[in-house]
Amino acid sequence: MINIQSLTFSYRKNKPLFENLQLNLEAGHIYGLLGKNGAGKSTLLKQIAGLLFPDGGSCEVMGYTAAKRQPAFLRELFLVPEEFYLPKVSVKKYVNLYAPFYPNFDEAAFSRYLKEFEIPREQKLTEMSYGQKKKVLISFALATNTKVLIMDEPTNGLDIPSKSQFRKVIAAAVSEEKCIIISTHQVRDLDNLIDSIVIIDGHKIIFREDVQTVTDKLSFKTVSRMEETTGVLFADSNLRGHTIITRNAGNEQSKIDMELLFNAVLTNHKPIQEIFN
Amino acid sequence: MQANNIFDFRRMQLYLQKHFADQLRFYLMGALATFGLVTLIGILMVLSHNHFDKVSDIVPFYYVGLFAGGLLFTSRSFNELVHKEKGVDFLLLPASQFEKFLTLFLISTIGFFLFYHVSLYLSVNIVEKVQVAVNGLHVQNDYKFLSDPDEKVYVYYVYFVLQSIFLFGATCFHKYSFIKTVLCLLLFLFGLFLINSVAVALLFGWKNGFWRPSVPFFLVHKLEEQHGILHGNGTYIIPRWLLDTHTFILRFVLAPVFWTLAYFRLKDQEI
Repeated sequence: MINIQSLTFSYRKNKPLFENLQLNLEAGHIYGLLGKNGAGKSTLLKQIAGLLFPDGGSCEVMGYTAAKRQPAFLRELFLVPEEFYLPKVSVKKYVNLYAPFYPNFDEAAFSRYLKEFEIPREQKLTEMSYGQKKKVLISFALATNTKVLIMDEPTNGLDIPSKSQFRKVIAAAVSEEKCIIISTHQVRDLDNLIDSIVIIDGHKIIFREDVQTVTDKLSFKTVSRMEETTGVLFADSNLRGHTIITRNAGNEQSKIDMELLFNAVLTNHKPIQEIFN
Repeated sequence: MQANNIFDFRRMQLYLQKHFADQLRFYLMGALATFGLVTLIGILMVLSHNHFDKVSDIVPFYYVGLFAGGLLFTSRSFNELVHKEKGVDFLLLPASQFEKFLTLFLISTIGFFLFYHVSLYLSVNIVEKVQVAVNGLHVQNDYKFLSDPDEKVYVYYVYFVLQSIFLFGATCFHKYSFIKTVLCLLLFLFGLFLINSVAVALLFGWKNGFWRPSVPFFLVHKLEEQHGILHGNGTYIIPRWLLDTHTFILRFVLAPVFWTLAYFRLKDQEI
């Protein structure tokens, strides 16, 4: 569905952000795009949406060249940016103005999502807080039923109950035809939500695996003493002891710790990558 | 159904609706402010014992308003691109770049032109009514805008050429588009003046500096010195066929070229 080949891009000459970046994303998945600040998460999402053009290589989405921003492409893609714009109208008016551009817009689903987020439909967007506006935009984005849904830091500005509501509505909206990409640096917000992990660092995609494969091959545990364990790939100490990643030799299923995995991939990339190759 | 990726009438209509819903407040306030200001200034002038005897007294205000208002308004055509958030909304809305461009083009050309003339017509009528009530004087129509003399129509050609340049400028410069376009235009005209001066001097010589009173691409007014005093000694106009070519370019080529460039610049916008 999303096919990025040899993508090269830089904001400044001689300072490339992406060099020969390759990425293939399929429908029916929720991808979590992780990376440090400035790694290029938002830039990659903008390339996919056609808001930035590659310096080299190609970025094709659903068979369309993203940079051409053709209506047939745009009506099947929705981007929820980190900083977004909503006109000074009521929610109802907003739907009347924007929904006709999306042929698969589902009004009933939109109402359901708003209800889930506890947003009154008659309220004016100008009278809403940033978090409420974001929830309206997320609800609208899901209701458009576009084949590609991109969200850049969607949980920023959402309070704690809203974050779990967010996970609930996203999980309800996923389907075999949709490809959802969520970029965030708050990896815990994506726990139990994403089914594939993409980590971007040093101009490249350095890790791209589905959650099932990760838990098949790696084991996430908390131990009280490090001496009791061997073959630790990565460890992080906290008040409860040490959370560690080891090779999953005994085929035991553990719950993925996204933050631990992210830190492990960044600091100890080579041995982890060898396990997946 | 396969979408038409260039132009779809229904989509254009939807985009127009969306654009007006977004900009309605600005357009209404701008229209009321322009109409109110022009009317108020006119009424104040009448009340302070100035009066407008004839339309030609009003004409300078009309031209200044047309150029200043039209070019300022055109400069903010792509105001959405100043702000990242609005820019994302603008570029990713599922309408073609042509539909988006056409909407803003029509509003900044025909839209402004119609509004300005209706607004000024109403203002002049109100001011005239006040003048009749105060002084009993009507405004005599002594000015034909397009045909008397024929050259007046060129004011509108020049207006549309400048409008197209400012529309192109709005796609090149997102912030302070008007000021930056004016600066670029001045730089360009100064460069043209220099090239023309050198060309004229090479043809006619540097003596007496008669390259100064010339209109680039059209004429040179020759100056000669007699008894230490410079005086005009004939005007050299370019051949008729060249004059017709230049006139044709001014009337029919420049504005469409800049409008087309503006469209392609819009297609190339990145955020």
